[in-house]
Amino acid sequence: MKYPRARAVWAAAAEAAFPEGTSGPSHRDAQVSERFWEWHDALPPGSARLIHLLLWTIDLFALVRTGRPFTWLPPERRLQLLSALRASRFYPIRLVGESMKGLLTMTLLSSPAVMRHVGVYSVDAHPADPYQLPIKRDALRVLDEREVA
Amino acid sequence: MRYGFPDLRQGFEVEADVVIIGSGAGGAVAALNLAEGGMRTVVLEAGPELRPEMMDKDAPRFMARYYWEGGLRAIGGSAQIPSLQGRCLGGSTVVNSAIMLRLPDWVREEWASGHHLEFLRGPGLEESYARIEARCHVTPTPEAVQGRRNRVTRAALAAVGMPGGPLPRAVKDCQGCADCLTGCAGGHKQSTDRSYLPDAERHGAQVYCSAEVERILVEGGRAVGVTGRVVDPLTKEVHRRFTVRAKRVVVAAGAAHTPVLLLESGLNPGGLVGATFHAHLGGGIIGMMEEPTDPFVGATQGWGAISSEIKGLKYEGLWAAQGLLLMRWGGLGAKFLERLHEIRHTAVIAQVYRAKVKGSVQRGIFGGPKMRLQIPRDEARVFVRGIRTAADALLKVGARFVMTGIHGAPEELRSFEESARLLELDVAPSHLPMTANHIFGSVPMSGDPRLGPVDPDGRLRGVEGVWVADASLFPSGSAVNPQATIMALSDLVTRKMLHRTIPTG
Ligand SMILES: Cc1cc2nc3c(=O)[nH]c(=O)nc-3n(C[C@H](O)[C@H](O)[C@H](O)COP(=O)(O)OP(=O)(O)OC[C@H]3O[C@@H](n4cnc5c(N)ncnc54)[C@H](O)[C@@H]3O)c2cc1C
Ligand code: SF4
Repeated sequence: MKYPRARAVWAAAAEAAFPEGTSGPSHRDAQVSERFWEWHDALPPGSARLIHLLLWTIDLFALVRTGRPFTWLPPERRLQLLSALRASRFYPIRLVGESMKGLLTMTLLSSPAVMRHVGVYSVDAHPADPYQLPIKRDALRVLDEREVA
Repeated sequence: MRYGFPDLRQGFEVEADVVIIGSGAGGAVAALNLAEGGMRTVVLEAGPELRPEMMDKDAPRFMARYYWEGGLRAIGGSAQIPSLQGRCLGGSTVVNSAIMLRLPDWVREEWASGHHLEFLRGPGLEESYARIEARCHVTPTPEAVQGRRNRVTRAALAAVGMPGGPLPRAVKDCQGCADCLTGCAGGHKQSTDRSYLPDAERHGAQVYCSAEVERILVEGGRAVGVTGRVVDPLTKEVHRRFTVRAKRVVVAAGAAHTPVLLLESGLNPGGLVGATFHAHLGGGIIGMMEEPTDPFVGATQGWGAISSEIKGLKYEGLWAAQGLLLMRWGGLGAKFLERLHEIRHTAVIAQVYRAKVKGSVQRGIFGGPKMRLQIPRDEARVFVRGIRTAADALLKVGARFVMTGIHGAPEELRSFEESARLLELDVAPSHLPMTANHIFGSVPMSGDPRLGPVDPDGRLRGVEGVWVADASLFPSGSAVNPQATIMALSDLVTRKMLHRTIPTG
């Protein structure tokens, strides 16, 4: 398997960010790891390099801050670390945290499991819909008839 | 005639009267005008042709494949600002929301007087708009496809005294699927791959996809063609080279790539290529409504209003695939997962602001464009004022709370007092969640050679046979969505081109 360290960091972040046992889909339900690496493989090489840089930075930050690699930390500590990055007063550090949050959320929210959970549907048949979203052709008409705020 | 990657693996060499680099808003209009005018026309597009079955509902994967830099491009400077550009036949017009607005009179006057562009005062520009609007079926977004999300935007903007109107869009029978940013699989959006290129091909234009130009060839002060490489659309692997010989080169690769191509070709009259760069600063305000809005249906951007408080600021309802639009929403962890059902209740108002910024475009270390913008702090404050108004607008129509994403502000604003406190923040540009998909002005047009490297006819100064016909031409921001004006300038430039002979010798 390619990039074992980067994969481990991503998987550890996904596990901490989207834990099991809540009312919403977890990292496992949403296949956050598998789908992320599929996306990564579709990126042009320069952009893929940026993703690796981001994951190395997360690992390094954990090492500097806690003395242990990111993957060795318990999930709650990993989550704290990601939140600390996002809240930092220093823009470059905050940018790392925001980028990681953005990628995690992007991968989660675009998964079929989350689409189903949210109740996403389509008004038009789509020739390439791997998600098989329900189609409600008259949904906009029905919405029109309801009172607007 | 259209060629794709499988036809071009072995490279190619062709001759033409004119070669056009890029097939987006500017390039496609040029292609039709020049082919219709009788020129042997070749269009070179770095990205692939996008067919409906390639318009994937998996939005991140779509972006990775069909946006430049996989959708991860950012403008540097005072903050890292994401900036999207389509990399496919039809360019950014394939992935945009199809809003078509004419240049406001005050911007037109600013360009005409500040840059000595007298032609903007005549009827020519209006005539071009009219031609383009007719061809692209520009019509106000009908009520039937507004959906609840756009209607919340309408009610919210009206509540703060900005009634606005349905946005005019280049669409035919839009179904309101809200998928514009990942391509219109039903073929309703009149992007240039539908509205212009097929007719250009009927008039003999040859369109080469997956053909990325690297350099304009110049001999003795005259353009003689272009050279580049064939790129695999999926792996981005580089295959053989190509050369197109032509005495006329129209550069329409977009405001990021056009200056880099010119610089790479040693074309930099007055040192002005890439020395300027402008962008509209975009931001989104999320309102959490009491009732479901089902935001994932309804025209992507159906309603908009010009700010009555801030000059150059505009509001629009917005949706895009939830994985893209809501990337910055909420936190992480168990609590976030428990809130996912709220997505069905969201309404998003986007703001677009023509800030006074200074910018530049250079070649980056990996060969692509490196864009920079310096945003003054007082412009960041104006941006926050705009956000505050949008927050109030959503609160007025019953949003339980709104989210601005501004660093240092509470994550959720629940009252007018809280939104008013946004104005007390000591904001820097890096505190603001901005995007910049409207970019321009990197090779501006000007009657004064000290202000712009391109003359009012669209010709690059200091070399014979090179024209520019894309967003790079703008002297500054357009204050409204730029596509219609890019197309109109390309229309004017290429119509004039037809009447100009290239001196020989
Ligand atoms: C997500 C999004 C939404 C938007 N929504 C709207 C909207 O609703 N209304 C509006 O008015 N504007 C909108 N815009 C902006 C608008 O789409 C652009 O301003 C406009 O398309 C720019 O036109 P252009 O010709 O300069 O560049 P583009 O349309 O980007 O075309 C440039 C083309 O050149 C190609 N190219 C680049 N380099 C090379 C090379 N070296 N060799 C060959 N080909 C090359 C590119 O792949 C691309 O196809 C939006 C933009 C985005 C990204
Ligand atoms: S909203 Fe849907 S149907 Fe309408 S133009 Fe956009 S992608 Fe096409």
